[in-house]
Amino acid sequence: MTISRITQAWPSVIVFPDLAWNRSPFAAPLQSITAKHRIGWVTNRPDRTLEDAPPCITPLSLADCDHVDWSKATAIVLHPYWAPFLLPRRPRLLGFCTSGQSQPGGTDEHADKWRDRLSGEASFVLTSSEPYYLDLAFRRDGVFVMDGADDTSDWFALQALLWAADGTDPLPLARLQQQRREAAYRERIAVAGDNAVISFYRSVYLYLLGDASQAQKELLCAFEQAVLSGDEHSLSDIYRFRSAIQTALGQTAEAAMTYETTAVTDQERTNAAQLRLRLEAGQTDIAAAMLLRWNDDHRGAVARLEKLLQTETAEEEASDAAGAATAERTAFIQQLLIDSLLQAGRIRQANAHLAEWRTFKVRDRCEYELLRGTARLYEGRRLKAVRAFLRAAELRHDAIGALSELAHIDAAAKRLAEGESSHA
Amino acid sequence: MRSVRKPSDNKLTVMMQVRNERGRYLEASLTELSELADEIVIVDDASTDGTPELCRSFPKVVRLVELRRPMFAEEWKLRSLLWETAVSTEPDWLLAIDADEFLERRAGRQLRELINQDRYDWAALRMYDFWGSLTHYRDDMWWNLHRRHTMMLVRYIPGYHYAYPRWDHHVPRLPYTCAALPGVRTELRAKHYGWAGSQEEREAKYERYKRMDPDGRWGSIDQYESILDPAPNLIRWSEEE
Repeated sequence: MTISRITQAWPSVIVFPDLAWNRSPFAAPLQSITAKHRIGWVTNRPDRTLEDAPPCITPLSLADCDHVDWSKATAIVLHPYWAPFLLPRRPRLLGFCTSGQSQPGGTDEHADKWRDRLSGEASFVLTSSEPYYLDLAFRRDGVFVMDGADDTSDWFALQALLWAADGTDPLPLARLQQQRREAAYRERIAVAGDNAVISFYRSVYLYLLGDASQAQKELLCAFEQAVLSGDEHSLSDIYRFRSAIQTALGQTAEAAMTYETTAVTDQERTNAAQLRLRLEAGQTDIAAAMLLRWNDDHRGAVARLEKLLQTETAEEEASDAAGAATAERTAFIQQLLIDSLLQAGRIRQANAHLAEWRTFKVRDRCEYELLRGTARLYEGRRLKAVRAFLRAAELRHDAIGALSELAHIDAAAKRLAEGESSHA
Repeated sequence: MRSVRKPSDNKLTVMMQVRNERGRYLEASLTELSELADEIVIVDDASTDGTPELCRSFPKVVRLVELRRPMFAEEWKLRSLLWETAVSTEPDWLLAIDADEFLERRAGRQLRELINQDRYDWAALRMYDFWGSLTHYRDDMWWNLHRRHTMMLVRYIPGYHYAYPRWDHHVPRLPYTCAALPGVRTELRAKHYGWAGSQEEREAKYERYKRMDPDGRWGSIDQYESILDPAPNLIRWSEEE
C-alpha cells in the first residue's frame, strides 16, 4: 500500500490517468490544483508514470482505491476505460477530462462509445475540443472547454477543476463560461466582420444561454454568409438549426415548417410528415421534443419529455378509461425519452425508464438486456451485468460482443494502471 | 397542416419589374405570360411612357405597384419590393422574368411539369443574349450567360429566409438564399432581347452603364467595353418547339 491505511490521509483529489504524468495533456491544469490539494495518481507503477511529477502528486495503487472514502474524494478521470472501475465507487464529484477526439491510435472501436458514456455519467466534463464541447452541451449540463482560444474562458474551465477539487459542484461556472465565449465571438465579429462560421458559433452559444431571439438573428446572418460563400450544405448544417430556435421560442408550427423546408432525404421527409401528424393531432409538445431531438438537442428534449411523461402519467392515473390513443402517446414519449437519455449517455436513467416500458420487440429486449447490463456494471454489480449480457446474447448472437468488450476494458484499465497504453 | 411542398395544383405567379417598356417587348411578353401563368405581379419603376396603363390592360396582372421616383440606382430595394409584393399574393411558384425576356416555346410548355412536383424548389434555365436581331445570340468571352444556368423559377415557402444582397446594381433576380434549397438545372432556354435592338440602342445602354458604374464596382469594365465590339461572335438561334 502506497499510503498508510492507518492515517487515512487519502488525497481529496484522485486522478485516473490516460498517460504518464509527464505525457498527459491535462498535467498543466491539474498541477494548479496542487497549490491547495494533494493529488492521488492511480498507478501500480509510479516509477514509470510519475517521473518528473511534483511531490504533491502521490501514487495510489488500484488496491488502495478500495480503501478510499469516496464520499470525500473528487475523481478526475482522463481515460474513459476507468468508468466500470470508478463509477460503482460513487465519488463525491466525478470530472471527466477528454480531448474529445478519438483515443490515440484510433483503432480502438470501444473508446468513443465509453467516452460518450462517461461524459453522460460524470458530474462535469472538461474538454479541449470546442466541437466536442458543443456536442456535449446539447446533451448535458456542466460541460467546460479549455481550448486556448480565450484566456478568460480557459480561466473558467480551470476554476471548474479547482471548485471540484474543493468538493464544490462547478455547474454554475458553465453558464458563465458560455457567456464569456458568446462575448468573445461577438468581439470577433465586430473586428473581422460577418463570417458564417463565427456567426453560427455565436448563434449556438446564444441558444444555449436561452437568448433564442438573438440566436435566430445571428443564425440567419450565418446562413446568408454561408450561401454567399457557396457552402452547399448550409441548408442542413446551418438553416435547420433555426427549427430548434423556433421551438425554443414556442413557435412549434413554424419550426416544423422550417424543418420540412430543410428535409431533403426520404428519412427527413418522413420525419416532416410525422411532425405534421403530431401537430394536427394537437400534440405540440411531442412535436417540439421531436424537433429538438432532430437538432441533436437531447438535453432540451429530455427536459421536455420528462415533464410531458409526468403529465401523461398523472392523466392516465386520474382517468380509469385511458384509451389506446393515450397509451400510444405515453409509450411514444417514453420511447423518445429513453433514446434521448441514451444519446446523452445517461445509461442508468434510461435503464430505469426502460424497466417500466412494456412494449418490447425481440430486438428491443436484447437492447434492454445490454442496457441493463451496463447499468449494473455502473452500480458495481458485475455478476448481474454479465448475466444480462448473456441474456442479450441468447436473444441476438452478436450481443456476445458486450462480454468481450468488458474483458477488453478491464484489461485496458489494468494496462493504464501499469503505466502502459490502453491498447494491447 | 399542408405540406411545404405541394406536388400538384401549384399557382404560378410571374414577377416582373418594368421601366418605360411600352414601345418595346412588354405587350408581347405579357400576352405570352398571360397564357403560361396564373397571375402576374409588376413593379413599375417610375415609367413615363404609359407602361402601367399597358400592364393594367392584362387581366392576369393582379398587382401593379407604381413608383413615383425610380429606384433603379438601388436595385436591391427594387428587387426586394417586387419580391414582397409578389409573395403577398400567396403564390406557390414564382417566375422572375424581365419585360425583354421570353421563354422558348418548349420551356413554356414544360413549366407546369417543373413546378408540379415536391422534390425541388427552384429551376434554372439557360439564358441567351440576342444581339442586334431576334435571330442571333452572342457567344464570346464576355457574353456567355447561356453556358451557365440562371435561376428563374422558385417555389415560395412561407417563413423561409429570403434575402437579396444589398447591391446597387446587378442584383440577382431572385433572393440568393433560394440557392441553398434543392433545385434543378434544366436545359430549357430563355431568350433575352435586351441587346437585340439597334446599334444606337446598345450605345445608349453602354453610356448608361458607364455612368452608373464608372469604376466597374458592380460589373466588369471589360464587359461594358465589349458592348461596342464591332464584330461580336453571333450564332443563329434555332427554336425548339
